[in-house]
Amino acid sequence: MRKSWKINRRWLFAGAGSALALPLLEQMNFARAQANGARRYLGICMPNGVPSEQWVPAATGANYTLTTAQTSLEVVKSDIMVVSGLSNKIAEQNGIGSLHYGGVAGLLTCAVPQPGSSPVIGISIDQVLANAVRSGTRIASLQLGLKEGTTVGSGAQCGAGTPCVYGRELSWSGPSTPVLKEISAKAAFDRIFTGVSPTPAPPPGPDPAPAPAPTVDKEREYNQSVLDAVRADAQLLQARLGASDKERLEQYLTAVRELELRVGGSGLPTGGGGEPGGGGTVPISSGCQPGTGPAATLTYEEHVAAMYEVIALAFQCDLTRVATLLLGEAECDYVFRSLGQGAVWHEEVSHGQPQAHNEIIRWHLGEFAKFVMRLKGMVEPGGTTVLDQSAVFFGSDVNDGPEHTFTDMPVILAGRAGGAINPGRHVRFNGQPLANLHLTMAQAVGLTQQSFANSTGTVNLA
Amino acid sequence: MSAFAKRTGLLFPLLLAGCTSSLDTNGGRRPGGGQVAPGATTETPGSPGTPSASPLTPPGGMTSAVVTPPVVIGPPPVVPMTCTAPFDPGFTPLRRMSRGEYDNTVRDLLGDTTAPARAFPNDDSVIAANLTLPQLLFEKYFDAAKTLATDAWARQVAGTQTVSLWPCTPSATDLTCARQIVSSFATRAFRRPVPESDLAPYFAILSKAETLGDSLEVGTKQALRAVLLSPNFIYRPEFDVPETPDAIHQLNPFEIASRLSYFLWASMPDAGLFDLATQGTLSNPEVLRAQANRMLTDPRSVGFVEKFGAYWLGISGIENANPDPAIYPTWSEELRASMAAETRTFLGAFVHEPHPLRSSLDANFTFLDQRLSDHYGISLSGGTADPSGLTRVPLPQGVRMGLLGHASLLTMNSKATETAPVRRGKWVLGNLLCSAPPPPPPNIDTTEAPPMPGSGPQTARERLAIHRADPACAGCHAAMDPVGLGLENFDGLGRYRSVDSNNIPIDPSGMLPTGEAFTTFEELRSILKSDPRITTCAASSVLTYALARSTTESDSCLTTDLATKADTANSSLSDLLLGVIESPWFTFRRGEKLP
Repeated sequence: MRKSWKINRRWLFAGAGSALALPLLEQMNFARAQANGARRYLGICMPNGVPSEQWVPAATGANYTLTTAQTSLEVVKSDIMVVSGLSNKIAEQNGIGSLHYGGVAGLLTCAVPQPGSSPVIGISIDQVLANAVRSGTRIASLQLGLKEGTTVGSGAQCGAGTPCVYGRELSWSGPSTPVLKEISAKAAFDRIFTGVSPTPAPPPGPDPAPAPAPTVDKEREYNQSVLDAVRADAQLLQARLGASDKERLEQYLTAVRELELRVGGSGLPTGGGGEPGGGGTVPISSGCQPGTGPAATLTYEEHVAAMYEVIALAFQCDLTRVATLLLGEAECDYVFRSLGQGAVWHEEVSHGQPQAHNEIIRWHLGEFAKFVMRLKGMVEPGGTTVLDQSAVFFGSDVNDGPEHTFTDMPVILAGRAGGAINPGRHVRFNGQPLANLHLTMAQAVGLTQQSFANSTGTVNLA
Repeated sequence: MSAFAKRTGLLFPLLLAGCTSSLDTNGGRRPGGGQVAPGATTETPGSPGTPSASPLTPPGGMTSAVVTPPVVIGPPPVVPMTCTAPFDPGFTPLRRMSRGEYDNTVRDLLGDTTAPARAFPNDDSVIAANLTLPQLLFEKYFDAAKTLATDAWARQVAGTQTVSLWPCTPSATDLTCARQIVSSFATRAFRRPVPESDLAPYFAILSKAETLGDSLEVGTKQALRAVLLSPNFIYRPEFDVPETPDAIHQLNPFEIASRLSYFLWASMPDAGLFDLATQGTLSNPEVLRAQANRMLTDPRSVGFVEKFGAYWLGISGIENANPDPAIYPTWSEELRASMAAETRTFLGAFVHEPHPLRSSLDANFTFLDQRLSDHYGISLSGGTADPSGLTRVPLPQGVRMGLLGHASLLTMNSKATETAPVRRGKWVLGNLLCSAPPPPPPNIDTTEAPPMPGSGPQTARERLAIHRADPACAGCHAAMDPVGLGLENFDGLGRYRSVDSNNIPIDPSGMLPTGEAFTTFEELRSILKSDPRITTCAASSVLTYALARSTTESDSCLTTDLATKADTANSSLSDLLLGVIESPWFTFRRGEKLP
């Protein structure tokens, strides 16, 4: 078992190499979107914290040496940026869940996690971005993770006075509405790519095959009438509910609307970016090759690789432009037996075994490096790569595993966000709020608003 | 159950027009039309804005210091004698079914035992406010509804469906029957009578099938799929009084039926409850008590045992335990399952049998299989077979008696390679005493200091001594550490040991912040057993679970009353459940107070 995760990641995606394109009814506009330089955002959290001495290189600028824990990033050193010095002390308040819980929920929200039986924190940067960009992609924003996460009372730091959900969700559409993540790579793949079936694009040249006569897509018709029925029912119900329950039912109505864009309607394009309903035949890039997806059962290590691959493919096919990935949960106690370890990651390794902790971090950064290379290999019609168009944030919930501080947060960026980010350097922003970085990255991807959470401005990444 | 219902195999009798003569079709209360709670002694006046306020006068008398008596509509609630403040049932937001409830509900609604919600995102919370509806979950509902409806229909056609969907035999063209199927299914899925007019959106799907040239059977199946996605199925709506939304009022009988069934079964009401709700007798205290007792003996009460066990004791934590096989060679997934089964079955015995609540800490029996028998070194002989498949084993005086000797709780509160006294102590304080210490302050290194070079192995007690030395730690650790160290005779898998992993004899003695000293685990156990917080904590945990909201000051007279009964009358966990059910906290409601 120990080496099982080292299998070629392609094995996890049977058939990934076959020539694929998209059926007429599922014409996606992604080729056009790519030509327009669609930008993507990904926020990643590796839990359990990293001490700055294991994270911050000695020198800043382009001539810096990666730390021992970071050596697995060497292959992508010119595509990444080590960022140090940022503070997220706002998430430290109330000491939620031994700080790790507040740290995970606070990483992309940069807000104060409130104690109590229900979560109250803030909207996360990925959701701000997804709301602002409204790209019309099949999936407005994608939340992935590896573990179900702790539930109330299971001996962890949550329960009385600390909602467990702080430790298991990165994305928040509002202060009390975590956007729950998908943890099955297969289910995530199916959700994103179902309907993106392998039909070759018509070859260029004279005498193309005649287009098939339009047929009624009954499944789509029924999907639409089912959604119509429950929407009408929800409106009926909503009129009878009290004020706050009315608002609660808005979540339901929003969900109906979002799903409708994808499975309802009568054959209008539902995937890809661009103007909703802007149908017509669009040249299909041969780049989008989702294959048949990951296996249903994966080891933890394969699971990490599969989630990265799902995100890479979703970005490449332009089925989503905003994603988050939580590599475990707050106080994640996985045992990395593949690294020859027997102790649990959080309670034993991150608290007391710095060498073993270095190995875990190095492994995670190695997987991240493979992902960065994968994005770099995805060439888009304009000649740029998906990586060129992306802004990827990789961070951890706290600085310094044992002491749980929120200054000098461990952060690495990847991608160029269409030129707004100039990687290949170690950049230090002494004492600025982490929210400044989030705001800068989001603006690079298309956000126009001028502030986010406790931001005081932007940082220079160019 | 009516003869018709029996014949058709329906859980609920069909609600034909005449069945609801004493109620309107919205279950006793029509939004916009005022409300009359069944059995009400106080009528709601017809004119909006002037409800007949019925200030609460509990039997024990009410202090005159009350400024604004809450508006109460309908029958006056009966609160415990000791309650002096005005009664307030609190506000519980619109409740969505949690994962476990969804699986149990589709089992009882459709006979589907595939547990589709296992693939839903983790939403395990007993607090209604936390059960939001993110996009991903809605899409899971959408997919599940399709599969559930398709599979149930296929079983019905094949004659293997255990819960019939067909009050009539459908055909490709019989619109009356198609509508009847949709209507009877919606009634059960929505857990209340549904007026035909509310079903128009679902009937529209039948027309859609005709438009598409499909048979009505295809359309009916699609309509059932839509019912399974309806907000009336996914949520359990409770309605307020339109003119005075924050008025306290008795729930309608169908709302009470659902509160009962989701409390005691984590599932939908059965035909018996539905019949009583239809008759309007469910709010009658004798009927309510009889039903609660019936439900507690029903196998579906395992729904309560599992869900409440996860909330109160956190026993689901054993699923995340990760013992290192290098140190614990006997650890296996099977052992994990045996541990979980012991605690689950033990908790079930406390729900189903009249053991005093406090004896859960030193009960003289437990439930073992061969694997756990070997693990503990306790013979199965002399035991009796239990329906769970485990053997009910009598325990002699000793460390294994009671919850604190359960391997599940001891293992999940250990590290992978060794015991975790602080975690164990925190669990006892938080889960059993509802006195969880606050989190450690920031900038504290919670790493245990490594032993001094050449100083030899340290005991857990020596390692934790630093907590007493540091004033920033001492306050909380003075409560946690002695309890955890008192459990050191149990290793990381909960096996009894007299020496630690370094062969140093274990000294479990200690003193609690209250000044009570103990020299053995069994002495600690008996101190904990008599801690007054044991019963108040259980009572408030039960109330939180039942009402799906955190408890407030205005609940304390109920929880205190229930705890006192548990202490003075040796009442059991099921008495506690009945006490909550019979209280107006359970059968009354108010909308959210407007600012």
